[in-house]
Amino acid sequence: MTMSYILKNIVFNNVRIQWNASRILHTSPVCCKSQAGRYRITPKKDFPLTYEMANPPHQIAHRKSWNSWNTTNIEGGLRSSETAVEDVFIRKFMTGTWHNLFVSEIIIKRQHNIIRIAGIIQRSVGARKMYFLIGYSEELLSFWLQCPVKLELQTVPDRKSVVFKYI
Amino acid sequence: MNISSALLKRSKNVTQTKYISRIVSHKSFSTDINEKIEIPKRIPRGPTDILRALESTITRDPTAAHYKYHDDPFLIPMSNVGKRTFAMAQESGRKAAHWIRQEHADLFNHREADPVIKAFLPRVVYNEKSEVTEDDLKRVITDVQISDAHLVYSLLKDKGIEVSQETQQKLLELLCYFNSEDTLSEEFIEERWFRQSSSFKERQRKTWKDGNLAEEIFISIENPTAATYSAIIQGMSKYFQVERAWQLFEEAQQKGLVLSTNTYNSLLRVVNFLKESYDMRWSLVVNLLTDMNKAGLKPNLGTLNSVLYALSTMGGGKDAKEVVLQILREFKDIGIEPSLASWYYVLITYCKERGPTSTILYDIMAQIENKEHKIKDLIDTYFFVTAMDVCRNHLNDIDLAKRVDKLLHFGNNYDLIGDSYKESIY
Repeated sequence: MTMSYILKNIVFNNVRIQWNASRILHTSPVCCKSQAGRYRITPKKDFPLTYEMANPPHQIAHRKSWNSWNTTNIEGGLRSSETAVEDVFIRKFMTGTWHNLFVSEIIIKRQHNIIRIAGIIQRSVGARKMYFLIGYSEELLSFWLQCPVKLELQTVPDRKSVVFKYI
Repeated sequence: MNISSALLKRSKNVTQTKYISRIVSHKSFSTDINEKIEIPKRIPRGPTDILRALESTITRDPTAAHYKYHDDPFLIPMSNVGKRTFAMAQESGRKAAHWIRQEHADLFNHREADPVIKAFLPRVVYNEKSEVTEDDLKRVITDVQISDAHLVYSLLKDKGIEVSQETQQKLLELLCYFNSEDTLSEEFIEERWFRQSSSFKERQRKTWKDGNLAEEIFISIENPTAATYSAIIQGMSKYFQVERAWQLFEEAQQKGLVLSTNTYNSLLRVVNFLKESYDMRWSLVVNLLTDMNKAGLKPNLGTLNSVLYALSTMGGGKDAKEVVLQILREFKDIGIEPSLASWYYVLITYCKERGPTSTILYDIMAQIENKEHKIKDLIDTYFFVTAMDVCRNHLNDIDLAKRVDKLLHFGNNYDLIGDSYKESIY
């Protein structure tokens, strides 16, 4: 959905540029509608949103919280770019290793040298397999990032239990 | 009116307080002269003391699962089987990660941490062609990699590089302690926790590998010292190669070498394999102890436990029981407090399945109650299981059982429960 939207945008922009070239001056107001992190209502109103998805970005710190917790971006913070890249890596690793299990965003919290990875998973595999994955991802990530990594998971019966509303 | 009365009251109060304060200040002035500020002496603190102090403010939640399990209704184990399965599953996941790191060692060699943390880096692999020095040997010895130590040592020998006496001694001690076998890494605690249950019975037969590298090294060392003899004798008696151990012991005696106390302890432990009848065993124990005395060695807790162990294997005769008490008294006189292991041996000597009921546990409990015990001996972990068993099957006393349980939950005593098998029996 988003892809086609972007394409449309580009096409429109090009058209506008051509117009501008011909008319030079235009009087219509600039369209600065914010789009990021917002979902559009579907015709059937059956698109499930989690609480996290239901709240647009300007609600961060009001109704919802950040997905990465660290101090790299405050003044005098260290390793800000490395941390961002590592966080992307952790997210990719977790969604890949825990295939089709995460039903929420992956929250990464850093305190001192510890990285805590939190999230909600669904109970579609047995508890034993989950423990295997916990041990595996904790150990491998700590080998890769060279610091202690901990997983803090919560389970829910299925994907439906994290749905906040349908739009 | 109200306000004025309140004001009046206040002013009265003020005058009163002024008066009082004057008296007080007057008094305090007079005492101030004599008072000295004493700066308390600095108490040396360790790096974890603050954490320990914080930890002492919270207690274990008896209703919760162990903190190694995930705190989630779905992931909390419901049974002993579940506990075992989940912990082992997590451990096997960690092992999978170790395997991947070892397979792709070249990818995991980045150095993120400063200073470099060795535990995160893959292990160095040695093979026939690798260039090794004595430093490598020293490193694998400190890292307890037994098969690597074996390989590196033979490589060094092939190349004709001299290994110093000290390193040889260290290698010999390592090999003797582990019977030249690779051990389970200390990282995998879960496997250790669940495995130990079966190993005790196996330990009772001879497992020493004859003609292994340890013996080779022992032979290759010219004019062995007392430490060399001590290492090999301890290794042999730990893995029940008793005859050879005894031979070597006599050899060392003839050469007039003074062996360590721990060597004597390990020999005392295997007395019941050396001699048949109870009398002969006891006389051997006494002989060994007099030998120690002659050599001017001070007995330690290990000696006490070994002697008690030897006694506990000598049947439940009246003599044995009396001797146990006598020994305990003698050791107390020279200032050696018995550990839980000692009490464990006393218990199994006194409370046999067939035989008269003994109330010795009451006396023991009076000695050890309301104290925090630290592990001093491997066998310490057997005490609580045995004590509870005695309460249940021998004395049928629920109050005593509650006292034992209270002791187990006192302070950090729960660390002494041993492994999962013992915990579940308990």
